[in-house]
Amino acid sequence: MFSGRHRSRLACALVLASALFCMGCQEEVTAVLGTDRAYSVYGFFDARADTQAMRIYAIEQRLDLIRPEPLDAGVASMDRTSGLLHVWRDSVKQFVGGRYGHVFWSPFRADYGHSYILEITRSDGVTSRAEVTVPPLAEPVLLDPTVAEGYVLLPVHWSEAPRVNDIRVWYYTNKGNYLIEYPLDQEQEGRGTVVAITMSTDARQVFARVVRGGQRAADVRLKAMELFVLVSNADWVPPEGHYDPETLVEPGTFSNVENGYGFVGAGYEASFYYEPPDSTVLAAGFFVDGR
Amino acid sequence: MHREAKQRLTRTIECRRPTNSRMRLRGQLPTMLRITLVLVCCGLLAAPRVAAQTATVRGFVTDAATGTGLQNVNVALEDSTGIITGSATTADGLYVIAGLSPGVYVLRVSFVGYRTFRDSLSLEAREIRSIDVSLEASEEYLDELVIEADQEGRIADLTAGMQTIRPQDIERVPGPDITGDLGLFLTTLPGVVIVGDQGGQFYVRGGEPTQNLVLLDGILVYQPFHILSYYSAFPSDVLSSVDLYAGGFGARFGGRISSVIDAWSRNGNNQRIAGSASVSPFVAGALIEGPIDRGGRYSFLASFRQSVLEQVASRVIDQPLPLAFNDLFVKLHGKVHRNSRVSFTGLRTVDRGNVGQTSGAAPRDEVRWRNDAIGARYLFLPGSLPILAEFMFSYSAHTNERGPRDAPLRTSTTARINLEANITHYTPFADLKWGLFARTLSLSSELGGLYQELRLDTEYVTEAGLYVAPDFRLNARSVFTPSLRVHNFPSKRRVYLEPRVRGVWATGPHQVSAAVGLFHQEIVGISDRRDAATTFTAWSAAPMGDVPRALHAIAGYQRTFEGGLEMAVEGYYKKLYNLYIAEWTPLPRLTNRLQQANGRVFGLDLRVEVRRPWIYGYINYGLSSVRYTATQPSLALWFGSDTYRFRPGHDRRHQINMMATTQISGIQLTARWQFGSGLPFNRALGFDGFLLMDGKADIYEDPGSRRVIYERPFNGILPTYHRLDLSAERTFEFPGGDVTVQASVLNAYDRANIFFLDVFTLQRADQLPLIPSLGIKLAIN
Repeated sequence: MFSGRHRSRLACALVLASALFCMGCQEEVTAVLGTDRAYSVYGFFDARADTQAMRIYAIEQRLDLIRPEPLDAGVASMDRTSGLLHVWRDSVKQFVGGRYGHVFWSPFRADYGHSYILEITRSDGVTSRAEVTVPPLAEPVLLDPTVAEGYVLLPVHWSEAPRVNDIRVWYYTNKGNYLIEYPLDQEQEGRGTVVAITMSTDARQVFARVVRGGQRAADVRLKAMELFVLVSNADWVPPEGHYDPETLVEPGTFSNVENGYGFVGAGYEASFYYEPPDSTVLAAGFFVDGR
Repeated sequence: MHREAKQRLTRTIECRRPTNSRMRLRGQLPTMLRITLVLVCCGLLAAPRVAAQTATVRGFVTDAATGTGLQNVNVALEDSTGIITGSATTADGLYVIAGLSPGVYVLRVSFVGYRTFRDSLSLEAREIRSIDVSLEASEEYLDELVIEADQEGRIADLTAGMQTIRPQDIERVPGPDITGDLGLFLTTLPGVVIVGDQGGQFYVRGGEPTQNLVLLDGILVYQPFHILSYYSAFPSDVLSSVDLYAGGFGARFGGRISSVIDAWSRNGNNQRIAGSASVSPFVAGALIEGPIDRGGRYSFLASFRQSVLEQVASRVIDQPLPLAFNDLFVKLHGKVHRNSRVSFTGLRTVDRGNVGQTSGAAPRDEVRWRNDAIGARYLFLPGSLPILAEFMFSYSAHTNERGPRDAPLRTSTTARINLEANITHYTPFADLKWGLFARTLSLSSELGGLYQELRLDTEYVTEAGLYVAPDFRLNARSVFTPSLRVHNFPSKRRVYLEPRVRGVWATGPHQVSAAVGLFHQEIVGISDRRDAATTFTAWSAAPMGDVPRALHAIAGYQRTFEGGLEMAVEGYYKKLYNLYIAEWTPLPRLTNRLQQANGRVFGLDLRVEVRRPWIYGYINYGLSSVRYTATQPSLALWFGSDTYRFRPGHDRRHQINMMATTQISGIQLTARWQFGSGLPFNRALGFDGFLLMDGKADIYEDPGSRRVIYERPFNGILPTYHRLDLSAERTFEFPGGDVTVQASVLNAYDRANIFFLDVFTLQRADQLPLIPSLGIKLAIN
């Protein structure tokens, strides 16, 4: 019907017609789907602090820098035990590098053993919520230590402590003060928690640091030691037993915030000061005058 | 008439194509190689016995006007009984016909567009006759399309993943420049995916860019594609041919697990000075070639191109194009002796720019890379043996940077010295190819914490190995090639055995081909492919110990129909192991942890090609599916499983390319339309912040991290991609040269094709908009 040349021209015409048809078309793409969850909250009710504070992020559709303007968030907490209601206020903190963070705060002290509900409400009514119980006041008691030549174990029982976090021991010596950080190893005993201080192992670390500091390790005298813990509510337990940021950064992997992300804890810092006897000090490897 | 004669000839000749096999040999030879050398010597000694009662004819076929070698020339010997034995020339113009019985023959050397050369000769037993032929262009005018169609290298000529690409194929594709470019041509192939027209990242049949082995005259080029992906270090006017292996490549290639681009440059004109200069809104370039000596034994060829799109094309579209590149190519070629050739090749490419940033280009995001490659090649035909020996030495270096020029945030520098030898024994039944190679690499990186567990300072890696790859001829057009590659990394104490098989069986209009093989890649390129605009690559020995490896399986069918219609269909399957990918994290940071992944790829290429006197065209369709599987313990809490499967960002499921060209009133009109289904991308639910609640966090002082709340990896699909390119070209001849003018329109209907979407900023970067272009090229012949 068509000669070769006619067919080629027809093909060209079809191509051009197609081009005109498609002119300027553009498909939009949705990169951020959005979520019903409203806020991510980080912080804890602190029974030893006069002011309670929480870092709050709005879950947004853009990653832009956090704005210094007040968040669209109304924050309130309620003491379920006493029924007291506290309204929290926004404050803006600027960090190094110019980034901002919103810290909501309220001037009250959380009570031992009380349960608190924290609610963050957006102007459209969407709310994120967390409920947490402050642990009772815990008292440290040294249990029977294990003392042998080169091996000293000091178990400390924190009564009424559902759990402890941030375990660390300070060693106060004549060569300086040395901090040993501990993993989260602990045992539940009754309604309390036992943390074991591996004093002899710690002593070797202290000696190594003394040497690295250019001093002799042979005459390190231990004056005293102090165990610090963050007595925490029972739910303040990281998945898999340790705080791996690469794991916990995954949204929702460590969260007790309803309709949101983040973690709201409760607790307080507590310490146990101890001056071990010479026999224990000596067994752990420290120097003792005249021995 | 000429065409019919050619068809008769191709029906009767027995093709023996001494392909340009290469092989590698080198310095620190372990015991394995010494043993191999002994075996090789035995093989060399045995060769004369094989050929004891037969004769061999060989030589080089060149263009009489330029002295350059002609590839795929039919060389036929007809004996007194009328039986024809034949061969086709390699990229060097070399032919070898072995296993000839003593007697009288008529030698016929024919090539479309040239006068056929005829001569008679008498061969004696054990004789090796060298006959070099210079073909003169025919006075008879033949339609260019017919000429091209009759040559090898058609789009639909696909043999177990291998396709030969000629400069003419490249020049057909409408682009922004008169001189064609391999980079643009590759985008027409169904198994090749580019995620955008910037960045120079090519994915071949599911493989990643750093898994492609790219060679120019046997010299490794680490990143041959320019930052504007239409361009590469391979302009068509310096190329002789390119063999693209989309997978299943033979044992003479190694060190990569995806594909091989084996490009060969042409020699310079050894008869007279010639050259060309061209300019377009994108690139300005010049080429010069000519003889070095009066006798025409030595020639040179030099080409230089400099992008001008920052200065010109950006004004055409009134949009910043912060991309720049240049390349310099130099080749010296010499006919040292009647039976030997030597060549020196040098290549330098320089790229810089802000990929995907058409406005507000930040120095922090600028990427730069540079390739330096030089090499020497010596081709030798021993006078008394039916053997082709090729010896090569090359040096390849690559530098990649990101960040401000005076204080880059990351750098990666790689250098490689390569020594190799490739030998081909020509016997009556097979071409026995084998080779030795030895290499040493220096790998140096400053990553600025890009990959947290990766400590890359300077590392030296030595590699040595060998391969054996005999081509067994089953019949005139059928070849079976089992091959084995053994390579050894003494410093890593690793040895790899890679068995591979390729085969093609053809009869009448039908051809069936298949390939299987095992591949390893000790030196890996590490990139964060979560972001399409990421072009920074750090080269390293397998950083976590396990070496990436792949299994390929390919099967294809090809058929030629009456009336200039040809079709090919090919299926492929790849299993990939120990790939290195960035660990999945919701932190919007530039530092990542590496993890290993496995993958599988399968797909189908369908090609239909039409060659008629009035039109030439083809339609390619590619179906592909790529899946990666990674195990990341941290995901168990997030997704419920520590194993996740996902489509990587280059998994384009459907791809169509259509091209048609015709000539009207002396004007070559070409149209090309391409379509690609949407690529996967990372879609987010929202953004918040993260503080590690380990009891130590100070909510007043700890700035925390911004966080992306992702769904699953690569769970979104970008919009489809389609585009129409048009060009019209006309050449005006004048005594001693010609002028070609080309008008073209890229993205003719101004489709807003998305390049990438930055989920962090919601910034959308599109590919180039409608760009009209006018190019002119002056050639002095």
